Amino acid sequence: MTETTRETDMNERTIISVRNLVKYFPIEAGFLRRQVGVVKAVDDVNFDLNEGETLALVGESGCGKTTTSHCIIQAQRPTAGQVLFRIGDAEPMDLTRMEKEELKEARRNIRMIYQDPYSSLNPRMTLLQIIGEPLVIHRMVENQDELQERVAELLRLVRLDPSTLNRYPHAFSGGQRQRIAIARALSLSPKVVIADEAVSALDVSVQAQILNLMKELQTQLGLTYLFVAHNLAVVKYEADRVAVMYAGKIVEIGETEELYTNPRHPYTEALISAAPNPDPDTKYRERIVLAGEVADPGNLPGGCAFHPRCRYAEDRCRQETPELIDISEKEGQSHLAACHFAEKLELTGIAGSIQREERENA
Amino acid sequence: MTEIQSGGTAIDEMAPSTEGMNGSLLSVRDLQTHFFSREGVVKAVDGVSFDIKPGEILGIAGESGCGKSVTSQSILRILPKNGKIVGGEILFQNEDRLIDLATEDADGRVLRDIRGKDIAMIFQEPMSAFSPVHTVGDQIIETIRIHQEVSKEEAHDQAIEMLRRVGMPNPARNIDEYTFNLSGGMRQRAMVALSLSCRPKLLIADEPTTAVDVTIQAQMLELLRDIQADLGMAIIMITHDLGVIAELTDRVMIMYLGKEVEHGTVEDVFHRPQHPYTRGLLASIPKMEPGRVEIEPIEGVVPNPYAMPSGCKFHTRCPDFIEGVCERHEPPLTAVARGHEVSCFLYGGREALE
Amino acid sequence: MLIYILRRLLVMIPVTILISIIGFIIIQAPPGDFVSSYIAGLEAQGDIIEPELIDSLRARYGLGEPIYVQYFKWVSSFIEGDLGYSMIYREPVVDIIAQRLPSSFTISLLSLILVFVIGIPIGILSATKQYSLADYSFTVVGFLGVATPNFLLALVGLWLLFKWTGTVAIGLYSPEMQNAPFGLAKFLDLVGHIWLPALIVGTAGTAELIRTMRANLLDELPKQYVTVARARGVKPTKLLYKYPLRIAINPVISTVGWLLPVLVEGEVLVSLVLGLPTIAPVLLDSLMQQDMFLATSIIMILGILTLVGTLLSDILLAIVDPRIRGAV
Ligand SMILES: Nc1ncnc2c1ncn2[C@@H]1O[C@H](COP(=O)(O)OP(=O)(O)OP(=O)(O)O)[C@@H](O)[C@H]1O
Ligand SMILES: Nc1ncnc2c1ncn2[C@@H]1O[C@H](COP(=O)(O)OP(=O)(O)OP(=O)(O)O)[C@@H](O)[C@H]1O
Ligand code: SF4
Ligand code: SF4
Ligand SMILES: [Mg+2]
Ligand SMILES: [Mg+2]
Repeated sequence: MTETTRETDMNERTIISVRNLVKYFPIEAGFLRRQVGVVKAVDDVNFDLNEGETLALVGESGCGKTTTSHCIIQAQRPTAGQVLFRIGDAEPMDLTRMEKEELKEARRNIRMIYQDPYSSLNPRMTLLQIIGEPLVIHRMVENQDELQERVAELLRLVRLDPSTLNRYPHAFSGGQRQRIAIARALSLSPKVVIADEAVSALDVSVQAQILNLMKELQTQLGLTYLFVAHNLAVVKYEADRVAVMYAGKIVEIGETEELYTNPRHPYTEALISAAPNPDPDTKYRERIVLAGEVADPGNLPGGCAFHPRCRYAEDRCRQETPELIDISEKEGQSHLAACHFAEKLELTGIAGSIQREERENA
Repeated sequence: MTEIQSGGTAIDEMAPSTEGMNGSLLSVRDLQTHFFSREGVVKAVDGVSFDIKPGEILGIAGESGCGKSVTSQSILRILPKNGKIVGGEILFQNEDRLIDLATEDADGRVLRDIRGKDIAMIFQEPMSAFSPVHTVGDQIIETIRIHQEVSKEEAHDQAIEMLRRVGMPNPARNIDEYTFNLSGGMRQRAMVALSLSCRPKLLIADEPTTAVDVTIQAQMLELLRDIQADLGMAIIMITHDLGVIAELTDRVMIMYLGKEVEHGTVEDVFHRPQHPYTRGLLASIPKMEPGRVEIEPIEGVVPNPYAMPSGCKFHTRCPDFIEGVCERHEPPLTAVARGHEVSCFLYGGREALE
Repeated sequence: MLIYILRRLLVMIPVTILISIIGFIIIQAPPGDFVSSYIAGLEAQGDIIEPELIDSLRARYGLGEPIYVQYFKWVSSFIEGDLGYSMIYREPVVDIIAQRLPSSFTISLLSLILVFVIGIPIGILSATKQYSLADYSFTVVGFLGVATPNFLLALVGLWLLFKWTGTVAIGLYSPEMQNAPFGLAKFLDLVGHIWLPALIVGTAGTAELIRTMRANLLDELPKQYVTVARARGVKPTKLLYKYPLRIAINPVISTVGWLLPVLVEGEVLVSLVLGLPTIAPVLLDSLMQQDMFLATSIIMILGILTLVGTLLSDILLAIVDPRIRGAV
């Protein structure tokens, strides 16, 4: 994954391959709006999304999750890098080089769902119009009857009553609106769905419904998810693999269970430790509380961007930027981390924190 | 394991113990707060009771719209115009006076003296909690000077001291800053400093960590824990995040549609949940535990507040629904263990119906 | 802050140039050059024009020379204070403006003050007592204020005043005071006359201000920092004036700049009805009769006044609002 070849070879299971993705935003100031710096929102991000899997992208506010998603669907054009996408056995295409017209097919196959089920649905459109709009735009239906039929089918798919077809979104609860958004995203039978904090604004019980619905739909339709979120517990439940982002870079990526029980990056460790656990027995566990806040991608510290908050930081960290390298011990597994001491440090994951608890209680 | 923690001594010291207060600092009894609008009446809070002792941390949890914020707004009497307390008592033990906050004049002297001094509040959005055109210090000093007869200089010093206590990096400079110049975490701290500036006996925190990142949330919880140990005030922690409740509180009350459905110590409620809603809620949270732990959502949707279900408010979604009973009668609060009460017919209350 | 002001001043330069170009185009617009039309105008009235005057005029405005030279000549004479010659009034434009501008200015300023003194408190009242009888009445009155043409108000005002006091409130001074030297008596006479036009000219502005003030306050009042302040024990009165009012008034400050020309505009018909010696009717006349020097000069002066006004209100805004101060 670290190779930076220009070729478009892809692993046969891979559906989207993100390579050396970079997105900088200029910082402008002064009367003449001169550029005085750059926000390194996404800075050399690499990952493969395999067919049928759920890859989660986690990290704190402003770390570049949304920008990465937008660069994949070309809603924002990346500054550099490639986004390879392949449909079936066809030749992979590099979305970053394609013109708007050529992107149409890719856009039909990669859909996005957003966080806010309130603002993402047009209040003046009925469910039929909202969900049917992509079908009409992409000329996927012949007539009104077919459209109605398709939309009713989609509503059934997301467990909504098809007779609500002609109602407006305000008549629905938050969870129901998120179902509507999902139905809309699925209307074109996409291969990949990018869910950007799709459950973050929902109540726990509704969130649970949507999480399960997304899983069911995945098995039923063979979907591939890029699941963007900041809640680690939710990610653990939903994802097969997890990529942790910090200040525009992926700092660790690996299989979910492995990453949670055996984190190899101090930031992952801290995130796991900070996540509140709904179990009063773990109340007095030793918690890593990071000082300060997420690094500002417009003004990154040198070396490892995490070093000002890292409790294992040494001189080397202030000078050298660590590479994302494979440190997995098990054969056939990949677990990458970007820390100089990834292999040496003894970090605590979820099992660890609970085990330690038990040890102390004993 | 919990009630003990805080000053049992403080209770004894409180002068004339008022009947029924049992050493509580605040006792909310059968509170009913309704909203009146053109579409109808919303019974936002409809019979909620709880006590909080000095130095105790109480959690109030439940999903969006269940009446958590309205409960806290009722205590401080800062409800929106169309909201009215239509029943119940909010007894507050202020030194040796027992005041019923529910019947006082909302903008009168008594309440204004209590607000900010004896009972303070932290809100969800730290950005909007401060006036954008006044400095942090201005607002803290103002609060101090409303409640204490001190000079500007003295109030200024106290404000700096409070900012230092909540871990602001440079209190002497931060005091003259506007909130839009502060980072998210610093704003949270400034807000805590603002609410603690008069060292209240009771701090009501309404979703103080909901809008922030996990690492900031962890900082915030740690800060509240430290400050509580330091100043010894009681805290009501309002949140929909059961993780936060488990981490911070001693006792917890779970609400559903304006009703209290269960309360007890955190251990009781999290390890031995009784009410079907509490059980459902706990089963819907993804866990941070090794291995696969399935989650089970509560089926159905929260009813429209203008068309509340009859009988037990949860009966439209309850898996243990008892036909002929639950949709007709409201279940009373029943004790299932000492200090652990549930309002559900599965645990009693049906006898009285006959 | 200083840099901000300098920058704003710098921005004003191109805008002023733009206004002057527009002004110049207006002068150039009528067929033929304006000296010819000027002469034609004079001759139509039976005047004899000496050839020397024609020549000197032609030379002064560079007629016959390339258009940009003409423009520069015109601009430089404008800067020197030579605004040209009015053909309707047969006077130098400067003199006409000098006579008229002060009274225009006084009326506008007075209207402005009245607008604020009346508009702000009523706006606050309407917002704090939303949906009360007072709120409804002011909303209706305000609506009428915007909808009723000023000249109608002026006529009604004249009539009412005549009915009640028997005076005919035409002009700025009583006939006997018209030519008196300026002194206390004349000043009092002025005060007696000026309030009516000032009030009428200000009605639309006042109604508008009540509306903005009410809307802004209603936006601010439910904000969380107000609730928080209330939860800190802040008194209800202070809760209003210290917090939301401070913020609600900002947009009002930023309207001051363009309010001034609007008021001048509003003066046109009122001045005609009430026979006031303001600049507005002159502008109307000059436009109708294609007296291009006069028209352009007035437009340019109003334009520059607007610019200065907006600058002043922006600076004021930056002073009172730290968010803007931080950004500049
Ligand atoms: N259009 C833009 N211009 C300038 N900076 C931008 C722009 N869009 C995003 N950024 C910056 O890029 C960084 C990454 O933003 P992004 O929205 O991708 O973060 P995120 O991880 O999705 O955060 P969140 O969890 O808050 O949604 C942020 O610092 C943001 O301020
Ligand atoms: N001003 C109001 N007018 C009418 N109804 C209101 C008003 N404020 C709150 N409500 C209603 O009261 C009920 C309880 O609201 P409350 O804000 O207490 O919920 P909450 O538990 O704090 O939820 P959240 O987690 O979303 O903050 C809701 O049904 C809400 O719609
Ligand atoms: S490289 Fe250094 S600073 Fe960065 S995470 Fe590793 S130990 Fe910490
Ligand atoms: S009272 Fe009946 S409906 Fe309500 S929670 Fe208990 S069993 Fe369920
Ligand atoms: Mg985002
Ligand atoms: Mg709330």
